[in-house]
Amino acid sequence: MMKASVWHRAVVGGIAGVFSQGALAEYAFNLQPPASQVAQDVFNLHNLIMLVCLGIFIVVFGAMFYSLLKHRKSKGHQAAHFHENTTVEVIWTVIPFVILMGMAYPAAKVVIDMKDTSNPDLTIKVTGYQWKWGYDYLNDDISFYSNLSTPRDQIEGTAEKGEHYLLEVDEPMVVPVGKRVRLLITANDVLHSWWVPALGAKQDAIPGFIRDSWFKADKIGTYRGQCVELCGKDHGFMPIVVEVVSEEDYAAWVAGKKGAAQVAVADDSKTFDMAEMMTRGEQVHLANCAACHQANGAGIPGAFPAINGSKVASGPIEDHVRLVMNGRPGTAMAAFADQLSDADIAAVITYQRNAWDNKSGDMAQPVEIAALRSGAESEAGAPAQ
Amino acid sequence: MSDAAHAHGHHDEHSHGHPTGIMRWLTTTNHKDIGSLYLWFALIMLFAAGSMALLIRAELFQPGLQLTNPDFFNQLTTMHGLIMIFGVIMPAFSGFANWQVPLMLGAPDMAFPRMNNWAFWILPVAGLLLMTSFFLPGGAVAGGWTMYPPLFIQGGISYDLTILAVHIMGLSSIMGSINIITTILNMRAPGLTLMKMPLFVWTWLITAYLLIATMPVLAGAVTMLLTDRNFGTHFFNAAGGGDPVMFQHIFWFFAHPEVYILILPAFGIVSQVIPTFARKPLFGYASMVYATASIAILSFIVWAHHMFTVGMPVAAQLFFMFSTMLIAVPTGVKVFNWVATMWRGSMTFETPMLFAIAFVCLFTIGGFSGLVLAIAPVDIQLHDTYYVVAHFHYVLVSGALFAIFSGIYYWLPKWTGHMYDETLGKWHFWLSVIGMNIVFFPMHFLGLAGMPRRIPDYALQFTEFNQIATVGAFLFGFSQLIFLAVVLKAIKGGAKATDQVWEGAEGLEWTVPSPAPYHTFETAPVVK
Amino acid sequence: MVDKRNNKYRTAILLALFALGLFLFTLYNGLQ
Repeated sequence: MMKASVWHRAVVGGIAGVFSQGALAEYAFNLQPPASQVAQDVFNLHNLIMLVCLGIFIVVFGAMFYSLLKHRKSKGHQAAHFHENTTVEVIWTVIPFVILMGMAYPAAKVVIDMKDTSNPDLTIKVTGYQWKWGYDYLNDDISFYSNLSTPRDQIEGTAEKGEHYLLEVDEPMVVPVGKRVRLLITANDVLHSWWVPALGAKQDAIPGFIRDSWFKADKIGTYRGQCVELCGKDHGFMPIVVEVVSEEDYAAWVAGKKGAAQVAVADDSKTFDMAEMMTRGEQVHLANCAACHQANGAGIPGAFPAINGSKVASGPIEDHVRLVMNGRPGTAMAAFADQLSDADIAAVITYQRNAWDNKSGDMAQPVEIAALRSGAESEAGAPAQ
Repeated sequence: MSDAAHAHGHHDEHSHGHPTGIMRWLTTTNHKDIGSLYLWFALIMLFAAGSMALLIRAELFQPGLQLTNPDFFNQLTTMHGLIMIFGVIMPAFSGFANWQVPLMLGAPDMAFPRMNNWAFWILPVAGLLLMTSFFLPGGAVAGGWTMYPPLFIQGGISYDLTILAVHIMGLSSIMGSINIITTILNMRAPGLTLMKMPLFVWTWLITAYLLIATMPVLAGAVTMLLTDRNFGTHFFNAAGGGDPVMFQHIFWFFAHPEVYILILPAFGIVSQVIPTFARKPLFGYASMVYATASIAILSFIVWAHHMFTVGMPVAAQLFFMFSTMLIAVPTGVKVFNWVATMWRGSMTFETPMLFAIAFVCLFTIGGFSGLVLAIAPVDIQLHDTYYVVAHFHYVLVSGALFAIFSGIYYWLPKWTGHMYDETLGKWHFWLSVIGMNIVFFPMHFLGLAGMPRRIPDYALQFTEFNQIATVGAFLFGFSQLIFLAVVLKAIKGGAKATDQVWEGAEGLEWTVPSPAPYHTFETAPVVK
Repeated sequence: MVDKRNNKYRTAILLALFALGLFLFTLYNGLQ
């Protein structure tokens, strides 16, 4: 049934466009352009399967549509009476089986390759939290959190959305190009999943277990991904950004991070005044607490308690500190002892006790938090209400 | 439906002492009544869960949060899934089983008519638990219909009530399945051997076995969730020596066969409809039985293809990939057999046939995306993205739901005694087919491009396809009102239906009058 | 007819026992 060659060319051209990388970028029809060999292998495998499926579809439904047109009562076609044929059944069982075997072989090779995490050049531990990622570079001894950095007003629609809306973070994962990066992935609370499509790496983050994955980025660039395992209300708001840079830039970045870490350690023995505490505390609150308790401390009735006007914020300061450090087991209130430094905890406690309608006048200093840490480690958090 | 039948010309029924009004429906042990109850329940739940879908699509029309907050959005997606699976598709197929299995076997009723009544009536209780959970403190369950811990351990009181609802629905399915298996094995008319049964009965026989083999496992899994939540156990808590992934294994051991539970009766319906309107016997009856049985057996060894990203050893990834690819073979055999049934038939295209043909074509598209997902390395990129959402909506909407529509249009005249409005039926069909494709085809592209599932807001590059999907959703959703109109109109009146209704129809149900009398086959027919 | 009725209950009880057993087996397995 070959009709005009214009049609033929258009169809072939369209299919070729879809299968090539980068074509029709605004209306994306295929996987993202690969930036690693693994992603390229998966891209190719998917193209192969699509071609096979398309072929089978055209044959089978070509026959069906032909039949719908020709074998109609309204065209006077009389019904035949055949209703079984063992030969034909065998043929259309064996042929699909053979086709599948043909697909299984290249697929198995890629499975084995994706699972081989040996001989890494560097190793990064990735921890999923509700709702951010934590990265620990085990070779270079750097640790930091990576939070969504899209401003709230863009989400709420009162400001225009930036180009990388929902796919931007405050601290990206930075890795050198062309190096095998092994990821040790875990979670702090519930299931999460770390994924960067262009790099072809996805691995579920399971609390209490470490599972590994790996990638080797071929090209310098910035690659973006998202959490892909439902983890609560802000599941859609904890993206991943991987910046692949040259080896020199990577070394410079590592040095910078180490410097910043030293500053943070120093902060833990400083004494701050109220103004400094309130400023720092507000930042900590917005980055860590506002997701549930809201920026204005009002919480969400029935789901997340208010801090504004609460007994915790006006009661004994040690209880407030312990609650933040140890969380409330059995609820979504995480333990922040390991996530926040002494200075950050002191700041956020101070802020929460003096912001909005709270006017306790209390102030905490980093050294006090440190003291409470060593005492608090042996206590469990308050029981769920 | 039966209520019209009741009034029609069977005044002597009243002398049996049958209650009327509400008590009739509450206490009925009649398979036709109970079939109707299941179908009405499913229809109401369809509109409830469908409305949730429209809210979801409305929020996703543009990036940003316009209508819902993220937690409520997660409640909507979770409840939409739970209700569609347990409140719509499964009860609808149970409704078909109740109406049709005794009629097709020449049996007077189901094996256990009173248990039949209980199996139905606990469902609205469960449905009520689910629907009212939105109004409880903390809102409805928001952890996905898959209920993964540890997230599922964090939620409020509605999570415990949802577990109770799941137990109740499981019990309903188990009771229903015991009834169906026993009826099929023990109550066939003399001469009706297993290999002479209509394929619809075969598919339900196999489905019922699947239900009995998997619902208890689900019950075990959610019981463990309940005790982890309330009684200090730590089945799924690593800190206590447990493993969240163990839940996934147990859950998917149930849930993979569950998806075949959701489709096998559809295969059965389509296998009745196509031969009727092609005026030609089903091609390869024995093959179809073996293929269905193979699919059912294979369904027990593929579950971890839902878990390719948890970090399984290579051997396990390969095993589950191969076994999953294998299921494509018997499924393909069925598709070829349907096409061969049409081939050189004498086809007419009334509404049941339209839906059946759409089923064959569109379900296959869903099957192909399933094959793509079976390839583990590709699944690594597509797991938990909109590609999966596209896949399962193709098999469940243009698969299961379209088969249900096909069956309703096919058997409505037998149930009500009236021909439905063919023009309205065709409108319903075309709007549904076009609408459904507009919603779900773009989702393949969204998944490939990297859009995750279960997110209320998305990055800008996903905007265009989301907008297209939302428009399609409203078209599809509102078209279902036409279906409601068709059903109500057919109950009230319409052209009188003959016994056989359709020129090419064969089977015991077409030997009784339309509407089918309240009691049929009180004496067993003899089948040659 | 009487035979068929006895068979009916036997079929049902077997299926129900299987379901119950599977439920308990799942829980037992979870405990391991």
